[in-house]
Amino acid sequence: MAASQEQPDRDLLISRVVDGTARDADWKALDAIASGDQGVWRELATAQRQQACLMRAVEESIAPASLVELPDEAPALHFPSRQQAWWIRRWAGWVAAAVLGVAWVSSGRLGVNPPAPIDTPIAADLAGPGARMVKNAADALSAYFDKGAEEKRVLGEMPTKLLLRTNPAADGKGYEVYFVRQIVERVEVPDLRMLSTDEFGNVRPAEVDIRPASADSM
Amino acid sequence: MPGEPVQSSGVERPSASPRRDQATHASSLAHKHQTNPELLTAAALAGDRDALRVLWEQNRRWVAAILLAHKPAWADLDDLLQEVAASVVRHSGELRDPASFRSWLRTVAINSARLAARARKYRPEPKPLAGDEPLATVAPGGAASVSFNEDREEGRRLLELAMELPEGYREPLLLKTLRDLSYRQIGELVGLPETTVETRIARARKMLRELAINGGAGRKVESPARGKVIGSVL
Repeated sequence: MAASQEQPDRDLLISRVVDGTARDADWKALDAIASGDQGVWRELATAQRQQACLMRAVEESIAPASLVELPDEAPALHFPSRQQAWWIRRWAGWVAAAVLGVAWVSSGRLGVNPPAPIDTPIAADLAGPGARMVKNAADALSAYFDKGAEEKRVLGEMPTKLLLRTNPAADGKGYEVYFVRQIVERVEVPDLRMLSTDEFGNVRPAEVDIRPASADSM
Repeated sequence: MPGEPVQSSGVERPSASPRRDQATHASSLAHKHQTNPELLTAAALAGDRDALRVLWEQNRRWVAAILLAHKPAWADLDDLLQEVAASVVRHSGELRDPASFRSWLRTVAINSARLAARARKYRPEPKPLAGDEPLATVAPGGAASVSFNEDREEGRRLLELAMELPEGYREPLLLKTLRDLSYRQIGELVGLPETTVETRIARARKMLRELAINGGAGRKVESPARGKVIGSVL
């Protein structure tokens, strides 16, 4: 430690050379130290080699970082602040009960709502026979249910809705509720495929066979 | 702050065309915000998924270095980085100040590493498999390969020794091994003045030289600046 105390900048000078930030004054100071202790050059050489080896080791260790992508989760929904969370805790139960209550009133068989009856008068035929004037989103949804039922594609709506968040309304009266509506559809397809991930992390479709196993194969 | 260059489309697999499209878009996005990283961060925090992806790609290398500096030896860096990435997706939208993104990201990384260390208390000691020895020093290429392998082994040994340094020295030292980080940028990340970072890195290198000479493990690590015991190694 005695040497360090005599030359307090010795380590700093070596470090600057290693990082390539040493200036003329630093080199002169290093020269001055070396005039009394040639060992400083050996220290410098050691420090440079260690830095090179350490850089390689760290690079190797963190190399997998380049393969780590952001997961495909739901993108940054703005989660509620503490105050909002308090409101949600206080009112979410009532909101959920209200949503369930409405769903119960209109629920159909097997817990799936039948397509809602269309009570919007057909005002114009814009896209051919049977098309209706869509004045708002509710009209559009009704038309979707109606047409979907006709095509045997839309079976109904699940009685529950997925609550995402609630906020006090901007005008202070009531609340705004964000939720996911769950609609049941049916399609016929020639074969089934599911998305799976191969050994390189690529998403690929893979065929799925859901036929019941025959007695021979048991 | 310069970060990792955005992956070129050549890195993407040919079969993943949507991902290639995303990478192309991300590249143009990165180019667009090259002169103003604050805009990129602000866009990412506002919910722009592509901007968030570019931001992650620009920062994930130093995040990995932070994890390396703080994680327990047995913990898998890959797993921890995945956890941090998931946190970025889930919680970055809660940040209001783009300027705080990097310090927030560092905190997330350190917390992930510490959680992993705490989880160890409840898990059995992993037993090394027979084949878990360091890479054999087979050198089919002659002297040059021998030198390469020697350097590699030396690098690994130094990295192990670096883990014995006090935390406040270890982190800046490892961050400085990333070519694209200056003292100032490291200071911004770890919340220290530039001069302090420079001094700590110099002291860390001094300690590392001493550890390398004395063998390292099991010794108490002293701060050369004060001659005072500031860390203890089991």
